[in-house]
Amino acid sequence: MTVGEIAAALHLEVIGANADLSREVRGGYASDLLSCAMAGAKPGDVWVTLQAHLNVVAVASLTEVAGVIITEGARPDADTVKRADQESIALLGTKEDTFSTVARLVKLGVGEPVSG
Amino acid sequence: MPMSLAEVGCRSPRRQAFSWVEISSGSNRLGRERDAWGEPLNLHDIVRVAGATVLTPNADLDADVKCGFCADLMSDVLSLATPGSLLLTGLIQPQVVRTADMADIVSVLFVRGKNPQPETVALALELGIPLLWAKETMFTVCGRLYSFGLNGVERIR
Amino acid sequence: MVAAPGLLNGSELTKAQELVYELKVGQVMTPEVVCVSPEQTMGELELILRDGGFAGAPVVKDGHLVGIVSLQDLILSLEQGAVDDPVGNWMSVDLLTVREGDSVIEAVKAFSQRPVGRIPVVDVRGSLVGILTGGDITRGLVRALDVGYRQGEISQYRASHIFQDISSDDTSLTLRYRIPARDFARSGEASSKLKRALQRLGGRPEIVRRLAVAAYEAEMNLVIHTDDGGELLVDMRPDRVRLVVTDQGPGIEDVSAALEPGFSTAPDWIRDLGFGAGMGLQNIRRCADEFEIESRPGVGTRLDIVVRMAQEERLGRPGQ
Repeated sequence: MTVGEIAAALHLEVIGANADLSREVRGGYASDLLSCAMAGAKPGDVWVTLQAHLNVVAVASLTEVAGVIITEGARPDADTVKRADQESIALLGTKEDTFSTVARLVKLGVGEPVSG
Repeated sequence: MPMSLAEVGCRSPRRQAFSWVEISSGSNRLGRERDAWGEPLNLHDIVRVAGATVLTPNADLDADVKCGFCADLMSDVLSLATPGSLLLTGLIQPQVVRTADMADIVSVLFVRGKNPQPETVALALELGIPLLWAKETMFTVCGRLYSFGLNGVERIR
Repeated sequence: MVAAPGLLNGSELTKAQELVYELKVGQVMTPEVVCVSPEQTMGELELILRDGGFAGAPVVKDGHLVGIVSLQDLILSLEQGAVDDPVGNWMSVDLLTVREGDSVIEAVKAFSQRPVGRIPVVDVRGSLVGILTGGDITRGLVRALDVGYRQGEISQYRASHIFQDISSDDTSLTLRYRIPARDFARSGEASSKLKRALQRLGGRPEIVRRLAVAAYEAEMNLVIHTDDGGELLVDMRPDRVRLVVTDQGPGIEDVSAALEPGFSTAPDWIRDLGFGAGMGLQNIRRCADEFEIESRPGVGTRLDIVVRMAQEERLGRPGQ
């Protein structure tokens, strides 16, 4: 499943003009701590976080996550969006909280099978 | 010979509910069905489904869990989590327990295998807040709990 | 502390009465039940009852409850020398059951209707999930009372009467907490104390929670941002609580920017503690009925937070 397909299925707002929506999503990671995401998010993960500041783009770029879902309606500022566009990072916005967003991703089949 | 309930095929309701998870094939239908059954989840269920370890001895695990909330930012918890929520967090400082106390969080589940500081456990024991621990990521634990029937907080806004 | 069974005073009796309605059968029943099958003999039943010290057992076939057999049934069968008779011949099939989701009062009624010592508990599908005796109910009530007491030592040492006992034209109670800067080990203690105080004064849970959250965010701001800490002053009246939070600097450069969600001057190490995400002042404002902030760089900051209580929410209201 691609980032674009997830954005469509979960009605996520695509923030910025140059998001790469073709990346394949292989798993999920949730954290509001950049240090944790740096250590734990894997390439191809979709990263779910409430954080919307500039460093999120840097971490997303370094960890090569497929996209970032920013929860609770938090808005990245213009610099952050500009930087994301430069790096073709997909920033996706939702009003839902992190628990509910992860739940909806799991329902779509992202992450381990629910029987685990 | 005396037979226990299990031997004659009766199961306690909790055990029965859990076996549903083991046989489920991967949709969220399960959670919904369990909701329809009307029985609230309690901390025993959470421990089992999340594969969690209980860090606070003699914790009262009979407490009902109304919903789940994931956050690493304490202000987020203070702002959105509702009373009776289970908090999933990667933070391990005593402030997490303090926050749980203020926000009437029923229990804190530490994810990502991070071991809380001794002060954190001591404060939790003092305030009577059960602490749970799981080595999996927040994403994975959240997915499991949701699949078992734990919902997110009701949004008021 | 621990409730002393048998020494219940008036208000504890009321609590026990409430619990009879609140507690569910599933919470007090014995879930691990020793069952017998209808094919087993009365002789085998005798051994089971004797070894386990039971006065009866449910009879289960293919997972379904089909009857119940008591010590009395056993004595009758022994009198007639029917040791090798199957249990199925002697069990009662006219079954009284309760559901695990029923409140305990239903079980109490059932016990008063029929002279039985135990009632099988079934789930919504009619499968046996446990057994209930009068002793289970008593133990469940005592346990619940005990838990209630631990939760609310508060209610034992309730202080809400001070607003009634002390007469004046305008009574208020003032609490002061001094908050040291950068003492993360103890930060939050003042808010915890305030929360307990509000509970003992009879505050409604939702009101107590709003004040506790506001106080905690304010306390964390003092710990994180101030040079020399500050003070949390709480002025309580039955119909409103005011929190005044003051410090002597450094002050906020741009107050309206500080009120924007996400605005933060906190360094990364504070963010890694889960604070400094730029949500604190928002949170305080959301919890307050009235909220004012004044700040001058180099002078200090003053927050004024008011939470009002409706008539039925008042602190120290009679009859709680």
